[in-house]
This record gives sequence, C-alpha cells and structure tokens, in this order.
Amino acid sequence: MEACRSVISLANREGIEAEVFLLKRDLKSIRITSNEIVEAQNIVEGGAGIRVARNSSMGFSATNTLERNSVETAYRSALRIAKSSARIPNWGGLPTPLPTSRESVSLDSYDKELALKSPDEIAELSLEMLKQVTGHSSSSSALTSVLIAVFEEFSIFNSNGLEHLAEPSTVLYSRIIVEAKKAAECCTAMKQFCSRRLADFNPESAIEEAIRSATQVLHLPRRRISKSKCDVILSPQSAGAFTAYLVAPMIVGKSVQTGASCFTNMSNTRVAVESFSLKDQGRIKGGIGSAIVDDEGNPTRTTTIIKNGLLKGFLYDILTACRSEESSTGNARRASDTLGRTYLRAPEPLPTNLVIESGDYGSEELIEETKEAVLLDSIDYTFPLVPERGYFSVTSSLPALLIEKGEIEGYTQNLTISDELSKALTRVSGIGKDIQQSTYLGSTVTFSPYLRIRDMAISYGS
Amino acid sequence: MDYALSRKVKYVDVRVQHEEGTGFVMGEGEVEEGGTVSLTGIGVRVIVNGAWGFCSTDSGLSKPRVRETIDRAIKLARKSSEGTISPVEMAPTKVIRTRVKGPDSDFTLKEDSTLETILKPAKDCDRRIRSLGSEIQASSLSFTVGKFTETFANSDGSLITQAYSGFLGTIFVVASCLGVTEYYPHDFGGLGYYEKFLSEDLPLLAERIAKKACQLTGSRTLQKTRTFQTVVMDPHFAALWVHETLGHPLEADRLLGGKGNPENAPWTYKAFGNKVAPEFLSLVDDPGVETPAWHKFDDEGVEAKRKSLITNGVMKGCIHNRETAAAFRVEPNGGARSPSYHFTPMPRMCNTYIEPGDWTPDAIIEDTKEGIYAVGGMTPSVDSRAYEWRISAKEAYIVAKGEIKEMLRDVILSGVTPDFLISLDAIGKDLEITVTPDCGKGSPVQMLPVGNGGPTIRGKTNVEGAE
Repeated sequence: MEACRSVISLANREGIEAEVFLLKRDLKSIRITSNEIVEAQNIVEGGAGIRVARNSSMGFSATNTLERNSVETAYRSALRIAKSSARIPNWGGLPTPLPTSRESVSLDSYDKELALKSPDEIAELSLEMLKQVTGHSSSSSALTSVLIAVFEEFSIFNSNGLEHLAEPSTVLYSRIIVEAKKAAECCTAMKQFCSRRLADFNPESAIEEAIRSATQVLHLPRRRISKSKCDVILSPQSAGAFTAYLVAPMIVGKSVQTGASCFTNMSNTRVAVESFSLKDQGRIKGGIGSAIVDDEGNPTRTTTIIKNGLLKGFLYDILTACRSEESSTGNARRASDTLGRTYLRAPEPLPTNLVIESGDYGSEELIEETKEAVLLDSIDYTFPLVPERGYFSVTSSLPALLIEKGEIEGYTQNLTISDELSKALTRVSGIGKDIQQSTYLGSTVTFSPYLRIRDMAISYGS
Repeated sequence: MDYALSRKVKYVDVRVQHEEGTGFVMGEGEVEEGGTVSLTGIGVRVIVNGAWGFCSTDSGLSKPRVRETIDRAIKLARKSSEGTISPVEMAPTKVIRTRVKGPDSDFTLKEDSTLETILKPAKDCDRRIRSLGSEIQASSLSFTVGKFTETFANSDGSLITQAYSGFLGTIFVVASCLGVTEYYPHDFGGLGYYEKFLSEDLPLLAERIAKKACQLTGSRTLQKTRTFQTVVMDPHFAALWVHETLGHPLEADRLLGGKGNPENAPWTYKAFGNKVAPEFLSLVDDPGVETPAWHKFDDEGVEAKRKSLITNGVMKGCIHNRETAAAFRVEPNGGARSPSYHFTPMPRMCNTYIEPGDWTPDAIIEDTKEGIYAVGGMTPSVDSRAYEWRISAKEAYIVAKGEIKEMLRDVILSGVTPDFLISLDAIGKDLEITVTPDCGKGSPVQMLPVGNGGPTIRGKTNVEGAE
C-alpha cells in the first residue's frame, strides 16, 4: 500500500496523472467428474496495475512484485508507453474522490465466513454435494461439477486524491451436471448457482432440481420437431447465457464505436418488444457484479440500455466515454477470465449486473398458455457468428422439453436455434416474474427471467 | 522440493515462471492503449493419499510463502482424497535435467528506440488501411510480445528450464457501404521476439484484410440453405474447423469424460480406434511448429512429441498428460499444458493440423463443378460433443465450373463432424498454421494460444447465409 502511495506522490511531483489498482485474490476450485474429485486448485495472487496519463496520453503497466522499486519501475514503463500514445480526445482526467461516504452504500458483496474458508473446507462442500448425489434414492445418478470460491480485495489510488481502499468481495459459483440413469437410458441436466454469501449457498436444492429435471426426461418420449421455426422458451439460466454471450458484447462502448455491434447507429430505435427492458445495475445487493466504484474509481450506477423496446444507452468507461463525447457510466472493469478481477488488464467497458426487467408470467403459467414450444434450460458456447448483424446459432446437447398445449409432452436433443439478436428481441412473447442471477465466461453477470421468443429458426444437424 | 518431500507426499512438481510482456492497441495510426507486464510466480502440485492438490502464488516468493503454498496443496489433496474413487496413477516418464531455449534471439535495439521501431509497422498498417477510402469505418491492430522463462522440477528428479519468446496479435477492419457493415478480424502470432515480430509484413496483411472488408460490403449473401453442398475450405477456415471438431475432442481427458454418459461424450469417444476419414487424411499435433504453442517439454516435464491423432483415416491417438496416458496404458506424449504457473496443467492441443495431401489448391478449385469456397474461419458454434458445428466464414465465393466466381458475405458452414470428415475427397499441399490466441478450456477457464491448421480441403456439408 505504501509503495502505491509513494508512486502517486512521485507522479504528483512530476506533474503526471497516475492511478494504481491494487488487487489481492484467493480462488479455490474443486472439480468433480463422474462422482470423483479430479482437480483441486488454490490460486493465491496479488499485484498492481498502474496507469498514467501524460498530456492526455495514457500508458499501463502491471507487476506482481509490490516492493517500492518494482512499483516505481512499472510506473516508469507506463510513462514510457504514454509518451508513444495518442492524445485521448476530450480527456477530462481520472476520477475524483467519491462525493458520498462509502459507508452509506451497502451491497452485501462480502461474506467474512466465505472469505475465511480454507481450500480444504471448500473441498468439504464439494464432498457434501457428491454425497447428496451418490446417496440419492430416486435413481442412479452421477455428478459432474465445479465449485469455485473467490475472495478478492481491491484498492484504487489516483493523483486526484481518490483513495478507495480495500473493497472486499466474495463469490461462490457452482455448475452442476447430473446424469440420471434408468437401465440403458441416461439423461443429463445442468444447473448453475452463484452467490456472494455462504449462507445463500444451497446446493441441496440445486442438486435436487437437477436430479428431478434429468429423471423427468427419462420418463418422456424423445421426439424431433419437424418444423423449421418454433417458439422457444428460455429458462432463466439459458436466458442469462443468451444475455451474457449475445447481448453483452453488443452494448459496450468499444464494439459500438467500431461498428462491430449490431446496435451501432441504432439509438432510440426499436430493437425489442415494448415489454422488454434491460438495465445495467452496478449496485444490486448481493449482485456478483456489484461494487461501490468501478475498476477505475467512478461510482457505479444504473444505466438504461433498452427501455420499453427502444435502444437507449451503452456502457462506457472513461476512455470510451471520451471517444464518444459521453460520460463514463461507471462500467470500467478489469475482468478476470476466472470470476472477479485481474490487475493484469487496463480497464475496459463491461457490464456490472445486466438485468432484464421481470414480466407478469409465473413459470407454470407461461408453459400452460403455450401452444407449442421447446423449452431450453441450458445453452452454452454461444457467440455471435456474424457480430455486426447479431446473428447467432447455438446447439444444445442437453435435452430440451417439448411443450404442447400447455403440457410437457416429450423432449428433444441436439437442437440448434439460430436468429438475429435484434429481430429475436422483437418477437419476445412472454417474460417471467422470477429472476435468477447467473455468471458466465468473462465474469458477465446477468439477472434473467423466463423468456418466450416466437418463431425462432430451429434445425438438427443429423 | 525438499520441503514437500519431507512432508511425505507421493509426488510433487513445481513450476516457477517469469514473464515480461509488452502490448499495444493501435487505432487510426496511434497507440490507443499500451502496457507492460512483469510477472513471477510458482505453482505446486502434489499427490497425497492418491489425490491431487494444487496451489499457486505470486505474492512474494519468500521461503515461508512457498512453504505455505506447499502446505495448502498438501491439505487440499488430503481432503480431495475423500472424494477419489481410484488413486491417481501417472504413466512413467524419463527423468530429464536440461535447459532449452526457443529458436529466437534477444532484441538488441536500445530501450528508447524500441517503441518507435516497434510501432512503425503498426502505423504503416493504418496508413495502408486508410488509403482505401471512406468505406473504412474503423480498424485496429493489437499485439503483445513476451519473453518467458519456466523452470520445472519434480520428485522423479527432473529439472528443466525452458526459455522462449513469442508474439500474438489481431488486426480487424470494419468497412461500411450503403448500409452494409462488414467486420473482418485476423489473428496472427509466432515464436520469437521483436525482430521476428518486425519481420512479419503486417502492412501488407492489413491492406489485404481492409480490401476484403470493403469488397464484402458490396457482395450479397445466400438466401437459401444449401444442403450437402460441395465446400472447399481454405487453410485458415480448415484450421478453425480442425480446432473445434478434431483437436478438442482428441484431448484425452475429454475422451475419458465419456465414461459417464456416452450420449454427452465427445463424438470421438465412440469413434476412437475406427476409420473416421478417407485414408489420405492424417491429423497430427506437433509441438515443434514455431508458434507461441511451441515447446520442447510439456508442463509435466515430459518430452513433447509429435502426436499422430488420425493416421490414414484411422483415429489412433490422442493428446495425453501423464494421468490420461496411464488410463489409456500408453506412453505419455507431452500434451500437458497450462497458460501459466497459476493453473494445474491439463491435456491441451499445441499445433494441431491436417497433414498436406497431393492437390494444389488451384487443382481443387478447377476440379469443383459447383460449390462454395470458404476463406478464413470467423466464429465457431459447436455443441459440447463437437459433433454438430457451425462456423462463419470471413469471406466466401461461389465456385462454378472449376472457377472462383462471385464473392459472398456472411456465409455459415454447418454440419456433422464425422459426416463431413468422411466426405473429404481432396487435401491440398498448401499447409498453413494459424494462431488462435485465446483457446479456452476448463473451469476455472484456462486461456492459452494454440496453432491450428491444414491445407485446403474439400468435402460436402450445409451452407447458409446469415439472413
């Protein structure tokens, strides 16, 4: 901490704007494959990312050696880079100290009990999950899962006097895949779970639900849909994946500025049905993406992205805001690939918690009033095939339920759905009441309800 | 090592790594973002009571800190053993004590002049791109150049130090004309330091990409899906197809995962040992290719070998770490990789490619009466079994009567892996390796660079336009 303060003092003496982002992190992960622990990891890391702005030109450097000399060397490296960098248009400087006291914001982002859990205690939690599956009475089941617990604490100092010290947070994430077997038949269900607090971790119900889903499918007939278009119901966790993989890359300042987003030049136009609204909310209590400030020290806030179907806004950090002559929306993030933050990257605009506004439908009601549809509970590996058009295609290997006249009548497998994002959102015909939090690759966090989308293109590869 | 062995572990390995890197994002001929990274850390892996435990740290490598890291790994392994059905078994391997250096040399320019020299070709890229006119909406060149030193030691007695350097980068251009916008990205990379990076003709590459993006804005896309269409994939499209549909499902841990529910296993689980392709097709994974995935020894200290995955159409081999090699009762082939000391290694591709055949690429086109020529793979969408795939092409062309005709934009090829594989009827001589900078695997995900490739190949599958 003192080495960081010393670099800020040095920068002030040299008339340079500087920022130090200091991070310490402790990640524990336990992976189970087919009822056996196959991987147990504990990653303890810490380091500093240093940015300098010299004559409105920026440079960055990162180091994990936090002695004074090393941090100063990193500062000098960042300065050398800044000398070669372009002037940032409309540069207004690094953030200033928070106008309100930090104590007035309560986000429930940190759970001391979870932070203090040792790696072997996290392994114990996994073992309990394993026992629940292997000891389950209803059918022969197998568990494949990962359980990840992260504690991190970040501080930001800058030469404008901002000192945001030691904001701690915790995350517990689990992805559970249960295989239920009956004679030679085997069906799989996947559930995800994430929370800030250990007390909210309820693997029993997630596992029970996964076993129930997988077992339910075992008793249903397997069918193929012969149509080329069909209504699709996305469960909260698949709607979350849809939002994280397909919507999130389209609403960040960088992709909008370059034209690599299907929403470029579409502000104030209709991109969704009137009942569909989407916000980025940086201060949801218990939100995995919540923080008091973003990763460059600006206060987090709520940004409306789609309001009643109209595209209203995008997400910016300071740099992309300057380039678009906008203000930062408090979305600077240094997202780690492995949940949470990294000091190795300079900030970029990314969502905090992406929230789809809930609708009127209870999940059962949505199904009951559906004439014919396929219900997808899991989609993964879903990136835009043609990003500038928002065209996507995803194949779900896991069973998808077939809804006919309001009843679950069968299941289908290996179904591919394809569509264009903005067109698909204009065909949303039902939004659920209940919202579920999920987190995905690149640490994107979503709060999503059930979504029913009319007439999506469907196909089978074989 | 001594401390870990005194704690009575069955096995221990330690990786100490140091990395120095510099990277830039260039836009409009200027540095938009730039940075340097300096990292040192250690990863310790132990087997205790038949189970793995792994702990890594970079927060000060003092003796007490490293001992604490070892203790954590041991405790974790001990607890994990309560959830282990069969004890971890590792295939035996040679004890190796050596130092190796990658085929590169140090950059000799003075520190002050380095940045200007490095940035010059990047600035030239932008000039060439902008010279194409107002259709260019945006462009960017981002690249990183890094030096790595990795020391591996294990309780078998191996002690290996590898030093190498590499670079990775991406150029993208967005062109727009009459309401049609086209995004055209291209990844590149290699083994070597600045001098190797500077030897790449990036301005020429950038100009070619920009021209293609502009041309695409004036082209049409397919309105109807064409099923079982003859398609010719250029080496870069073939590279992405190989990576997703053959490379990942031939990583041995994925194959072993199929023991649970074969329905969800990779397609290779049932096909392993069988003829899956015409006999003129062979697929290898080769650590000797000079991409950032180059290595002499893997992250378990095993000599990295060229692995024959498909030989004359028969699926015979896969990518192993020592544990999967023991499960398959084969010799380890040096396929365990991890992006850094942070993570435990797992079976990963390095440079996976289809071996060149007899055809010139021109002869393949001339021999095609009617079909689609797909150039450059953009984005993949593949199911978890790598059985069904969809990949968008950066550019595509109609082929008619042996000639490349009209350019098409936003074309997507899709199909079923074993069906397409068996349909292949021509393999080109023109092998090229493409670098994928960020291949992800595992949870928590481990991202690392791989090389993939192939020559021009021809087969039959579905083709559609993204509209």
